[in-house]
Formats: sequence, structure tokens, C-alpha cells
Amino acid sequence: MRLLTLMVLSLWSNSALSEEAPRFTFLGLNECAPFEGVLFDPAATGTILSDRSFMSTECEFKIKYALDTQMAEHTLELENLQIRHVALISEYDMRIQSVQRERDALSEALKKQSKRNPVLWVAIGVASGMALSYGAYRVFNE
Amino acid sequence: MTWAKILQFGLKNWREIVVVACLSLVAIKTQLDYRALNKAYEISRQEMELQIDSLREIHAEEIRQREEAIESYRSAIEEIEQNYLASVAELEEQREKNRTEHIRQFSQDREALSDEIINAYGFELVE
Repeated sequence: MRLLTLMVLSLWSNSALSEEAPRFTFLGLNECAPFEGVLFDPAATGTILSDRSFMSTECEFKIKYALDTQMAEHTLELENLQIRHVALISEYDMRIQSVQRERDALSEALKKQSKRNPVLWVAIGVASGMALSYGAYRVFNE
Repeated sequence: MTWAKILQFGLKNWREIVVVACLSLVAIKTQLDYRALNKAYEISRQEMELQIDSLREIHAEEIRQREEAIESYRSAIEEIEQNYLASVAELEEQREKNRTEHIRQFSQDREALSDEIINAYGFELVE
């Protein structure tokens, strides 16, 4: 609604200007003037004087518009980078936690598989091997 | 009678029985190792599924935040454009008033008009 109002106002302003189109003409020496030159009618003179007065303000508005637009673009870019950064950190933490959980689970499974007294079981294994070897030797030599 | 026969059979074929028992032990141990490997595989698979689910959640959250940022950007751009258009319209209005004042000065207050031209451009007034 506000934008529409502004557009209507702008159109009204342009139409108001076009109603009295500024004019100018060239004058020769002593042709109703003490020197040759350019003659501006009151509308043209008013336009020239007004434009001069408001040119810097208009320029400031344009610069502000360009800077604000650029700031919004850079803000968006920065936010996107921050979002990506946070996502990467979350992904990294999640992977680390997952690997730790997997490691713990595998360690737990391995602990259940392995005996609690490895020295004893090594001794039993060695003794069993020796006994079996000796038994086989005795049996197959009968 | 039956136990005696079994004992007799065992004493007669004890070597074969020992071989079968050893093979059975190897088979049981292999089965246990297979189960352990299968359990390890299952743990890895579950963790991988968890990772995939978490990655999906993180990705969805990232997309949501990006959409929010884009929405915020669009709102900011719209506000900037509206402010700019409002400023330009106001400036145009002031310029038009100024121009009308100069036209009025031409017919009613030429001295003020000439003063303004002289002050603005430094031109010399020739009567």
C-alpha cells in the first residue's frame, strides 16, 4: 500500500512537471539582449536551480541505497557462512561421539569375548598343547 | 547292559572320538568367533545408521536456518527499497516545491531570484 502510494505520488510529480515543460532558446548579439547566450524560461530556470540544490541529497540517497543493499547481501553471506560453520562443527562433534560410542561398544564386546585372566589361559593353552602333542605321540606310536 | 556297550565302544574307538571332539571344539570356536564378528558388524552398522540420521537432522537444520536467513535478507531488501522510494518521493516533492517557488520568484520577486543565481553560480546580472 505504501509502495503504491509512493508510485502514485511519483507519477503525479512527473505529470506535474510535464504540464509545464521547461523551455530554452538561443539569443544572438543585441537580439533583445545585451549579449548572445541561452535564454531559459522560468520553469527551466527553476528546474536548474532546484536540481542544483537537491543533487547532493539525491546522490546521498542513492549511495545510502547502494550501501544498504550491499550490507544486506554481505550480512546474508556472513550468516550463510556462520550457519555452515555451525553445521560443520555439529557434524564433527556427532562423528566424534559416534566413533567413541562405536569404540566403547566394540571394546565391551571384545571384553566379553576375551577371558579375564589371559595369563592363566595362555598357560592352560600351552599345557594343553603339550599334553595333546605328547598324547598323540604316544597314541600314534603304539 | 547299554552303558557297558557304550563304554566298550568308547574304549574301542577312543581315537576317533577324540578326533571328533577336537573337530567339534574347533567348530564351536569358529561359531563363537563368527558371532563376535557379526556383533561387531552389527555395532558398526547401527552406528552408521545413527550417523546418517544425525547428518540428515543437521542438514535439515542448516537448510532451515539458511531459508530463515534468505527470508530475513528479502525483508531487509524490501525495507531498503521502500525507504529509498519514500526518500526519493519526498525529495521530488521538495524539489517541485522549490521549483514552483523559483517560478513564483520570477514573476513576483526577481531580486531574490537573481540573488539566488548569483549565490549559486557566481554569475553577473546584466540589466
